Amino acid sequence: MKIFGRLLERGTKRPLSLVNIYCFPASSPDVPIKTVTDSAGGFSIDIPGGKFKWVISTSRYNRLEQEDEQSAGAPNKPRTLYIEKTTYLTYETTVYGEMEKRDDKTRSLDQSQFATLPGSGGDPVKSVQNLPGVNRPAAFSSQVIIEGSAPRDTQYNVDNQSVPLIFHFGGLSSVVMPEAVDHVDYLSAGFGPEYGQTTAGLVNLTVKDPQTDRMHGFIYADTMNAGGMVEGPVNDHSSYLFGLRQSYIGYVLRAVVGKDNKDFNLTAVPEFRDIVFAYKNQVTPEDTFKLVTVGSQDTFSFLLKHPVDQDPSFRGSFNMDTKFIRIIPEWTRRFSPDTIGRFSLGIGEDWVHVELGDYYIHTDRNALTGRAEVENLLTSFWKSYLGADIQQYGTTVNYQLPHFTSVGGVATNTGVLQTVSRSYDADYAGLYWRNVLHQQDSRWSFIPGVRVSYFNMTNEVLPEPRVGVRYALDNGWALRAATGLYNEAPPVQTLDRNYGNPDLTSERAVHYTVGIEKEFTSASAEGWSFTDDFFYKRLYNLVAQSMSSRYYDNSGYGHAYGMEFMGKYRSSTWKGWIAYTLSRSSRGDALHAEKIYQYDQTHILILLAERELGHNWKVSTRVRYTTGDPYTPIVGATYDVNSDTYVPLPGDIYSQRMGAFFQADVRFDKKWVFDRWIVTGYLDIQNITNHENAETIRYSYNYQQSEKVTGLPIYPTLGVKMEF
Amino acid sequence: MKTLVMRIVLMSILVALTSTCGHSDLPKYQTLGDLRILDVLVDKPEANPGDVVTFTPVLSDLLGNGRQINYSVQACVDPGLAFGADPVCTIPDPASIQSGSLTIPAGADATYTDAVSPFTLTMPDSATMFAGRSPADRYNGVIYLVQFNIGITNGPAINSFLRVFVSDPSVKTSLNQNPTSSIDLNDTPVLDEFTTRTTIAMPVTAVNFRATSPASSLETYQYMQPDGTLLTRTEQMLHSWFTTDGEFDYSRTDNGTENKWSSAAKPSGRSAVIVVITRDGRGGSTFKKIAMN
Repeated sequence: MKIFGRLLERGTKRPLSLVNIYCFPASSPDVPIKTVTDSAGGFSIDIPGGKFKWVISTSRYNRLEQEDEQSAGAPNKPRTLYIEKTTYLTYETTVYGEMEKRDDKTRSLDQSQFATLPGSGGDPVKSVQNLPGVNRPAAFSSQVIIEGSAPRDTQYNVDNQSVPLIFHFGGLSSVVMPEAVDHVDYLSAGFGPEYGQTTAGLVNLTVKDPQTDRMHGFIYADTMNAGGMVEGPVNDHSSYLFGLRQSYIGYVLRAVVGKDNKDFNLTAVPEFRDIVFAYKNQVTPEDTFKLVTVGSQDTFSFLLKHPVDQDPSFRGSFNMDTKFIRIIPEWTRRFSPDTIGRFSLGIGEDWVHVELGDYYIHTDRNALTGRAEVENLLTSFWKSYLGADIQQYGTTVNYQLPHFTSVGGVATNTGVLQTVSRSYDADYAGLYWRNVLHQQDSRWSFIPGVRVSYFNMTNEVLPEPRVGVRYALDNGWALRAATGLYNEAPPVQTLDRNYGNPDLTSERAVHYTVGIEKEFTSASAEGWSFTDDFFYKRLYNLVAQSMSSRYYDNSGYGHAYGMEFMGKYRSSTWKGWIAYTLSRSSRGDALHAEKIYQYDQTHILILLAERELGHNWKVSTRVRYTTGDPYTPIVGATYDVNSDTYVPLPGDIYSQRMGAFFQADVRFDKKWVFDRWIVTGYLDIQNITNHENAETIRYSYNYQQSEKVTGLPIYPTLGVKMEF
Repeated sequence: MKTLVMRIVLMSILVALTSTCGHSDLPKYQTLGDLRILDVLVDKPEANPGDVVTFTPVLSDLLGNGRQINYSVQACVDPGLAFGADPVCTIPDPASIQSGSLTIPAGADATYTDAVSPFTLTMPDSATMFAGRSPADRYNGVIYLVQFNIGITNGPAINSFLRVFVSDPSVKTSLNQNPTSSIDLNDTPVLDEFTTRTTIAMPVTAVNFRATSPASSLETYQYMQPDGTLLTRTEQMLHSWFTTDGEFDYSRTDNGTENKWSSAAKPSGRSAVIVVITRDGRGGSTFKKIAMN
C-alpha cells in the first residue's frame, strides 16, 4: 500500500527536501524500502501492510528511528515525520565577514551574533559596543561612542532612514525588536560618501525580510519586558512580519522602591513599547517592494516630594512621553543586469514631551527623509553608486529650560531661564557619487567618492571628498586605507536667535585610516582572522560654549587617534573575538586649551567566547576592561545665595580618571525542541564577579567631600521564549 | 535639543533612583555644625541705579563658640554669569570693597546661628549699569554681583555670591519684593514675623513642620525675552531647612509642603535650633529661626 507524508525539521517545521527515507517492514527487516523527499518535504512510499520502522539518517540531523503501523483496511493517514537537528544554536544566517560590505570601514553583526551575546541582552545596538573603536559608555547609558567622539555625533538609522532615538530611556533597550533585525552596520572613521551629517560614524539597523516558507512566530518574556512576533507568507510572492514589545521594568522598579516613596510618588511607572512591521513583495522579477514601519513610545511620570538636593530647581511633577513612528517604503528595481536602483522614504512624526515642574520641552516634528541610489556596473572594473539623500523636518518646539554651562563636564546652573516657542524647518540634503575601481586580476582596488551636503539653517553647501584604497598581498594579507572630509550641522538649538548663535556653521572633521588584515582560516572557515587599523581624526569648527550673549561659537577643535585590533576565531565548537582599542581623544576651544576629552579611553579590551556544550546548551562569556573615564576634579565651590546651591569650581579639565572598568558577563542558552515548537531559555548574568566599578562621583552639598558611586552590581536576567 | 532632553530625563531618573537606593555617608545639607553661610538678606532684591542696598548675612558656626570671623565684600557689574562666567569680580568696584571681622551672636540659644551685622552697597549709576545693555537687560535687571566671603584665621573659608537685579526705572516701576512666610508645627503657627525668634518646647517625638508663603507673597511678574516679547511668570518659593539636632525628611520643600522632623536628645548647654530660609528665586528671601528647649 502507498503511504504519503512529509518530512519536517523538528521544532521549526521546516520542510526537508532531497532526504533519503528508509522504511523497514517488520515482515522483511533486512530489505529496506527507500524514498526521497521532494522540494516541499513530501514523500510517498509503497510498503507492505503491518508494522514497520522509519529510519532517516542525514548529515546535521540526529538519526531518526520511529516505529509505525499501517494495517490493511485501516485509515491511511498521511504521516508527518520530524527529524531533529544536531544543534539549534547555530543560526542559518549570514556569518560575520561574509556579508556584502561596501568598504572596509563597515562592520556588520548579524542576528546570529548579537542575539546571544552575553551582557547585551540580545540587543543589536548594544552589541556594537563589543567592536573595536567603540568606547564603553557611562553607566546606565548605551550610546554608541565612536572613536572618542561625542555621543551626539553618532547617527542612528533604521533601514537607512534617520530615526530620532535608538534607545528606550537613553539606553535600556533599542527601539527595534532584536528578532526583527537582520543585521546592524557600524561605520567608523573613513566611511564612504553615502552618509552625511556626522563627523563620527553611524549605526544602521536593517529590518529582516519576512520568512516566506510558512508562518513563524514566537512569544517571550524576561525580567524586563515581553513581546512576540509573527511572520510568514501572504501569497507566493509577498510576506509580512509583525512584532510588538511591552516593558514592565517599571513595575519591577515600583516593587523595589515603592509606589509612594519618601522621595517621590511614582504616578506612572516607566514603560516602553515598540512595534515593527515589515512587508515585502516581489512584484516582478525585477521589482521588489518593501515596507517597514517602526514605532516606539516611552512614558514615565512621578511626583517629586521635595526639590532635588543636588539642584533644587528640579522639583515638582515629572512627566515624560516620547514617541515616534517611521513608515519606510523601499522600492528596489533591477533595471538591467548591471544596474540596480534603490529608492526609499522615511515618513513619520516625532513627539518629545518632557516636563519637570516649571521646566518643559514640547517638540512635535514632522519628518520626511529619503534616499535614492543607482548602482551601476559601468565596466568590468568600475562600479558606480550615484545617490542622493534628504532629511526634512518641520518642527514646533516650546521649551522652558535653565541654561547650563559646563567646563570639563562640571555643570553650573547660573544661566537664565530660557523660554522658547518656535516653529522652523530644518532641511538637510546630500548628493554622492561613490566608485569602486578594481580590475579582475589586479591587487589594487580604488574607491574614490565625493559627497556634497547642504543644510538650510546655516545655508551651507559643503563638498566632502572621500577616498579609499586597498592592496591585496600574498597569503591572505591585505592593506587598506581611507580618508575623507566630514561635516555635521550644528545642533539646532544652538542656532536659536535668542539663546544661541544663528551664525554658527557646520562642524568639520578629516579622517585618515590605514590598516592591515589577514585570514588564517582554512577552507572550512575555521581558524583565526584579524584586522588592525590605525585612525586619525582632526576635528575643527566644533560648536563650543562661549561666554557671550551668543552662547556658542565655532571655536572648538580636537584630535582623535588610535589603533583598533580585532582577532576572530571560529571552530566547530568555539567562536569568539578579541577587540582591543588603543586611542587618545582631545578637545579645546577659545576658552580652554586642548585637553583630554570627556570620552577618551586609552585601553578598551573586549574578549568574547562561546562554546556549544551539546544537547542544545551553549555557554558564552564577555570580559571587558577599559581605562577609567576622565573627569574634572572639583577644587572648591562658591555658595550661590540666590539659588541656595554651591557652584563648583573645576580644577584641571579632565585631569583625573575613574578607576579602570572591569566586568565579566556569562550567559547560558538552552533550547528544548518539540515537534512543533521550540522553547528557549537563557540566563544572562552581568558582572558575575560583582566587581565594583566607579562610574561617577557624588559630592557633598559644598563639594568638600566626595565618594565614588559604583555601577551595576551582579545582575542576572532570566528569559524564556517560545517559537512556533 | 536631544542633549537637553536626555539630560533632564536621565537626571530625573537617576535622581529618583539614587535618592532612594543610593546609600551615602556624605554630610547632610540641613545639618548645622561647621561654619556656614545660610543666606544674605537683601532689603531690595531688585533695585534701581544709585540705590543704597542693605545686606544682612545669616551665618551659622555652632561648633565655633563665638570665634571671630573675618569677612570681605566686593562687587561689580555682571561679568556674564548667564553665559558661564565665574562668579568672581576680577575688577571690583573700588567703592564696594570692604572687610572686617564679626562674631555671630550667641543669644539665649547659644547656637551661634543668626543674622550678623549688615553692610551696605550703593548701586552704580545708570551709565555704568546699562552701558551696552539690551532693552531686555534693562527691563529684567542687570546683575550687580556681590561677593561675600568669610573665613577664620588658619581655619575654614567660605566664598559666596549673590545678585542684585538693577533695572531701569524708566521702563519698569514694579520691583521685586522680599517674600514672607510662616511656619506651622503640626498645623499650628509658630512663627509669623520675619524678626520674631520663637522658642518652643523641644518635641520628643517626630513632628511635622510646614513653611508657607501666602499667595500674596507669590509675585507675578513680567520677564522680557531677548527679542522684546514679555512673558508672565509667577514666583515659586523654595524653603530650605536647617537643624542643629534631629533630622528633617527633606532639606528643601516646596511651598506648603510638610516636612517631618525626627526628634533627637536635648543638647546640653544650648537650644536645638531650626532655621528656615525662604527664597523667591529672584534674589528675595526671608529668614526664620525656632529655638527648642
